[in-house]
Amino acid sequence: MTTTSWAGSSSLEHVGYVYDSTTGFARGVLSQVRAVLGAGGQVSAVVDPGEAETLQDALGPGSAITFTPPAELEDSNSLFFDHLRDVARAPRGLVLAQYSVFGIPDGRLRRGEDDINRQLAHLPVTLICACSTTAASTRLATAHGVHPRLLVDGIVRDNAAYRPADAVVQAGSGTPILGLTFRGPADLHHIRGHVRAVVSAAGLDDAAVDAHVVAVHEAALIVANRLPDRPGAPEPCELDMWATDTAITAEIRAPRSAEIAASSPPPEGLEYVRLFCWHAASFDAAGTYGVRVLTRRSHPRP
Amino acid sequence: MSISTGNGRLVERPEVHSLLVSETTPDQRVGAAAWVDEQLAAGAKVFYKSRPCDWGGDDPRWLVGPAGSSCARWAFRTGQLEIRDFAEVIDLAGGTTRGLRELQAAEVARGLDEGWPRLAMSQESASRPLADDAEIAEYAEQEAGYDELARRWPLTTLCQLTLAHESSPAAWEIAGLHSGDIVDHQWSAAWSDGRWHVRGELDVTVVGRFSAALDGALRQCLHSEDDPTLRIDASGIEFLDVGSAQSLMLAGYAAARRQRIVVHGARDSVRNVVTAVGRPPSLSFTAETSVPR
Repeated sequence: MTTTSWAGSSSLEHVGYVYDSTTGFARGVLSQVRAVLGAGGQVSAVVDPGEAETLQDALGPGSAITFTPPAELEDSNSLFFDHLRDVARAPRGLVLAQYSVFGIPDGRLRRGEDDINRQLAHLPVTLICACSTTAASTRLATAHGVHPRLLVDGIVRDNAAYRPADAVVQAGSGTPILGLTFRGPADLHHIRGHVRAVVSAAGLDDAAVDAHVVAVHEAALIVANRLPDRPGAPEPCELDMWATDTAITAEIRAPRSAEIAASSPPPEGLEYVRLFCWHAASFDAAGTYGVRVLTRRSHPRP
Repeated sequence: MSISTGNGRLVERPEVHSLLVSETTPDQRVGAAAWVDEQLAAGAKVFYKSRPCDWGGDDPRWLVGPAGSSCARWAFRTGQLEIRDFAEVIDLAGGTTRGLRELQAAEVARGLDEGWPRLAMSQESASRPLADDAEIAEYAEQEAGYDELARRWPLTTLCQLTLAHESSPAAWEIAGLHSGDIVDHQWSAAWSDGRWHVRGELDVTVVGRFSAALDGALRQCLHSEDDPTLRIDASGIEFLDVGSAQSLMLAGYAAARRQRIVVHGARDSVRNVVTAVGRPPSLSFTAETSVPR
């Protein structure tokens, strides 16, 4: 579905926008900003000074756009959420937020974006999150992964790369194709060999095999790095994999360290895992911490 | 010539001054014993320097004991293999780098006088702290001594880095100084035809040494009189993880302003990981693998 306006929408429109330059940034969002201002809505831009100046120049003097200092919002997610609520007054408002102004790590950004989708879905406001093409690959992956829709060439389109936070990767369904135990990073060389062999045999094409091997390797590192720090031999980590006609799923799990709270944020490395698979998610249950990796077949098996 | 990495893997080496990296003393001994056997079989006289008991070596003459080979024991009896421990070497060299170089030159001269057509030297991990610039410079001078001897005489040198005996900073410096020829578990690197050929699997278990060697290779190119570009032949890299790709990315950002890194012949899987992590402007890929003439 594509659209150029949200006038008829009564819920959150959470839109990702990837731009390549300061002038490109302003050009891409100008029609959205003008439409909201024209309808009497509030527009709040949380952007870098360069982008602010370009936007101001493009809108001309006397524009009703508000430039909100990022420092007022970045200390916690709740400050940003309150700002969204403030703007979400009739007529429908727009918040334009540029990733680069928020000095927070990828994991926190991802969590904040997921929380917006979960907690503010009812809010009648449009949030456009802008990410430069020159941003780190993990940040770009977040921009593509957390937004149900993307702004491309001035048009809002459904985003095929969107991975909802509640799109849990289900383990245990399909045919078991691998079950291994390993004791830390030193074993990963052998683990990779086994993973490569079974996913090749399961019919993934070469590029998907390579990507899945990297994703499982990085996921295994995350899990191994969270092992309890005890003297003696480390606790074993377990790797299981299943295949269906449409996907390959891997689950890597190990006992959770007592020092790591169950509610602690997802590890930063998960962003890298997601670069190499369709979706990856961490889980924490009954003293076990793990990561699940899902690789979809490009051509489902008949 | 081939070097056993201690995990059963043989790596072909054309170079004359190599570094063998091992995790533990048993791994180190497998690799060192195989190298010594090969040198002896090739008709070289071998000068071997070992850790004394009080440095964590249980028997400085393990090479000619049950853990060594019958070939080494026979060569030790005939004089083709000479073994000294570090305490004796330090005593003979007067505890200075200059003294050590004189001792080595004397060994080379003696080996040639005895009529050996080839000579070989190896020394076990020395546990030098390498904690300050002066000591690192001393160590670099010591290593340069092997290269100087090899330029004049038919000498092959195997340096050994056993991680169990070295601090992380020391391992970094040693790997960096041996970027020209390093064999480290599942990966290796060596210069050939003006390119730094990297082979094997680069992952979290070796990323520190890979970064150090990459840094060393960059420094070596920077001192080149004409083109300071580091050309990496990556056609032999079978796996690269995110951490190793980040090392490559950081090396690209840290390279001198006029320096570039060109990666030749990388597999798509390697290229994809580097691209996903982030490729600085100073780093580029080319499919071309043959050496330009």
